Amino acid sequence: MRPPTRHAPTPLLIPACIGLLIVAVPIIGLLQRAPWSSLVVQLTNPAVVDAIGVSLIVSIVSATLCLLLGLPLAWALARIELRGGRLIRAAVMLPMVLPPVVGGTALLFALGRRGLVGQWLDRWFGITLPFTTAGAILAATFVALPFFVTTVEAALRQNGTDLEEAAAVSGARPLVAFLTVTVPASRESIVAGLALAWARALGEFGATVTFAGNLAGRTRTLPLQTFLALESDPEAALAISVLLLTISLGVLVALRGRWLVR
Amino acid sequence: MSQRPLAAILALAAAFVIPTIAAFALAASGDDDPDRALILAPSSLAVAQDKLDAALAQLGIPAPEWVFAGSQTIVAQLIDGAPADLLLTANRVTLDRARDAGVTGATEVAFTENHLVLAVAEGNPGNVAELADLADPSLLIGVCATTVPCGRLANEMTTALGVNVAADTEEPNVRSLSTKLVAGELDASLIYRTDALAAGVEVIDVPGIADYRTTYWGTSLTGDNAVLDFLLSAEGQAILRSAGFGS
Repeated sequence: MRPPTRHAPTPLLIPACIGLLIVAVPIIGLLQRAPWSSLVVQLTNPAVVDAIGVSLIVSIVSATLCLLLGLPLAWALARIELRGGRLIRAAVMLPMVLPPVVGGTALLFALGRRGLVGQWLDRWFGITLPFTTAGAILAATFVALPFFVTTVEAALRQNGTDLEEAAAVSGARPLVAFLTVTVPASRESIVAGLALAWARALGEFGATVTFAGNLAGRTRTLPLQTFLALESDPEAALAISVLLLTISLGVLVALRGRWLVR
Repeated sequence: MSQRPLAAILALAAAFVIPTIAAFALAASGDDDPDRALILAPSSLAVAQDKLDAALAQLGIPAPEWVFAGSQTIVAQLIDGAPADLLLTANRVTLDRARDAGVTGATEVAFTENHLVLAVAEGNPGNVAELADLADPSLLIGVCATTVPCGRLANEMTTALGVNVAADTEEPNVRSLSTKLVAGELDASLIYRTDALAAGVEVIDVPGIADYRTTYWGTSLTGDNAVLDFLLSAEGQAILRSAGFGS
């Protein structure tokens, strides 16, 4: 790597500073308006405690699903050469750029009880996902999964297949090689992917409110509580925003500090 | 050869930067047509927008720019400095919030009313027959959150009629609630009569439900407002009534 430059050209620095301000100013504004003295009172309000509980369950289960489903998916994308590979990869990445409310609408018309798949879930198993915590978990997983898959797939590609092939030569079954060689070699990226996916699941709003509805103790996560509080109790909304901001920042700092920079 | 990437970058930058600057210049200049009234209106009024616009056009009044959202949201936006010529709210409480913050006009007028109905999904899959069925936890029931006027009214009405609603979702505005009912994801919900009419959903008759009403208020923020005058005129009232508003 080249050493960092000391003399940046002004034509680059000016837009760079404006870009930084666009990100920084709203956050400073939020922190400046935050009700610091009543923060603890606001965050221990029963409605907020309920939302924290729902958010923890939804985000942790969602991150676990990302691990269980995303790890094999990332492996398949990295290792299997398919004709439509690019198309499949684009489909997996889609939720990263899709407006979450569109994702929620898609989930509703696919998995709602009148939906393409949902009507059979309802008829055969009596399962209806909208308006349940499971529905909120599904919505969060929909938006969080690509963050995990992209991170891990990049690591799998970078690490290459040498170790796996060596394991195969020495007689290890493919699944054993995957678990004992591939996974440990990519563990830093797996942890980083999990942290990103968890943070994204925690912040999910649009898909959740569209697909899973909004009910205290069941589907009302912290972002939904923030949105609701914004219209009746802005102080509470600001307090929750500070909490979510702190968590997001914490995840990023942890990633920079421990896993991404070696 | 070495010039080409630079040229490509410059072309790309120009392709993004010029429209961006143009968009900002347009957006930041705000109201591009001073003749068009900017109206902050409750979501529930959206069902009457097309007819109102058409009637205003016949009178030679330029079509207003409507901003529809929950009454709480538009009042909060107004308090935070959103520009507007006319504020319409779906109940008195939200208008009071605007007045307490000092952002209302000189006069405040009630221009119409609305009430809730018990609406069911197509084919009435939950066999909903009366208001008391909303207490059935096995049914999928939706109401508005109590922070918005329709939820506040639903809460007032069901409390008075002694029904403890087993809600599965509390939606942030009446439009999203009615969408979920129309999609068949909810068995029943309490929506405005106007939304039920617009969506063409089946309504279960509930004795006394129309006694619980919400009044729509308007306050002109920039002097006389032709749209507010029209809403109060006989023709404006007829349009509102045809959409299901009023008594």
